[in-house]
Amino acid sequence: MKISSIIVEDLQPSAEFLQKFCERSGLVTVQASCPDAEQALTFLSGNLVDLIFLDVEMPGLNGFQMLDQLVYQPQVVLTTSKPEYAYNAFEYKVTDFLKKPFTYQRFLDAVQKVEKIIQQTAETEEEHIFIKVNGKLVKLKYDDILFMESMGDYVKFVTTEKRYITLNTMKNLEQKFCGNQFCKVHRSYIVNLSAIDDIQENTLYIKGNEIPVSKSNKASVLQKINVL
Amino acid sequence: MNNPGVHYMFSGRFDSAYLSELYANDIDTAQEIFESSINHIAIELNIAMSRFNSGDLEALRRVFHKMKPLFGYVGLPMLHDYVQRFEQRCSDVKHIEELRKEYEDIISVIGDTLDMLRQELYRMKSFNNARVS
Repeated sequence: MKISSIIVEDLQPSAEFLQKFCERSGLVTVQASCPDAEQALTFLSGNLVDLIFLDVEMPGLNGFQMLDQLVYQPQVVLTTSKPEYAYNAFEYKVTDFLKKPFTYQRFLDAVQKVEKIIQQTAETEEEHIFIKVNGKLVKLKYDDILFMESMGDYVKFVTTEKRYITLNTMKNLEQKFCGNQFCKVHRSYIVNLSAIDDIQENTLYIKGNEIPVSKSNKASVLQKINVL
Repeated sequence: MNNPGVHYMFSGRFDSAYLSELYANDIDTAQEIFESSINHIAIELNIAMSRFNSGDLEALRRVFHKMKPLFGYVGLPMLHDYVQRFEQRCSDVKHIEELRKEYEDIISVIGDTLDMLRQELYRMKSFNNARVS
């Protein structure tokens, strides 16, 4: 699974430079590039990312002030041309500190550090995600999610207990979820493979819910479940 | 990515070893970043002049802080360090007039550097166009 990230950087060439490195690595997807902290906070209020590449000196809020306002804690790699911020970086427990301009190898070291922490966290914690519902962040364990359904600009999460509607896109969720446990079965549906009760022709059933399986996705669904 | 067999040689005033490390012979990317950096240096240079004329030291420091890494992206680490020293001077002095001589020097150096960067960009574009055709 790729690391999802945003770039918060007011200097366009620096943002472009970073974006190129992310593409080159094949390890990081950039969900958004924001020229200031306010835009980043707006983006982060409706989207979850694993990592923020964060500049410090920007118009309006600086990088550290932005971190103070975050409602959840993704990993942070500071990108600044001022080494004096290293102390603050330590105080804010950021994952790494890249002094601009940095080389590709140095960038890769930082990303690998992030990747390692993500893996360690996944091993020690039950996998879960936070979604924003009615202004608050709600924790959903992966095992409790039955399926996700696209509703235009929104996505419905159906769990064993409840249904939640949150602002997000299937494309985003596909990147986040599709792997071993979850699978896209239709352009509007991602399902938890372990929750499937039965499959008949082009329809699958999960706790009484009827979910269409598109022709283009059927082969990959059948490949992922244990068919005798 | 460019053909690894065909290497672009940066002109003598650029830190070629550092640029090779940054761009790994990907001259398409180097061209994009050079172009974007040149545009931003020119913009920030105008802002710097305006800030100096208005006597706002902190705003002047911020402009040079922002401009600084751009010289790294184009393989001019000595200029990066020169701008860094000027940025520090902006924090050290009490009145902007104390900086007038240094300010005039750095504006002149950056102006000359922009000409040099535009020439290098032209060379890079010619290289990339020749490679494509």
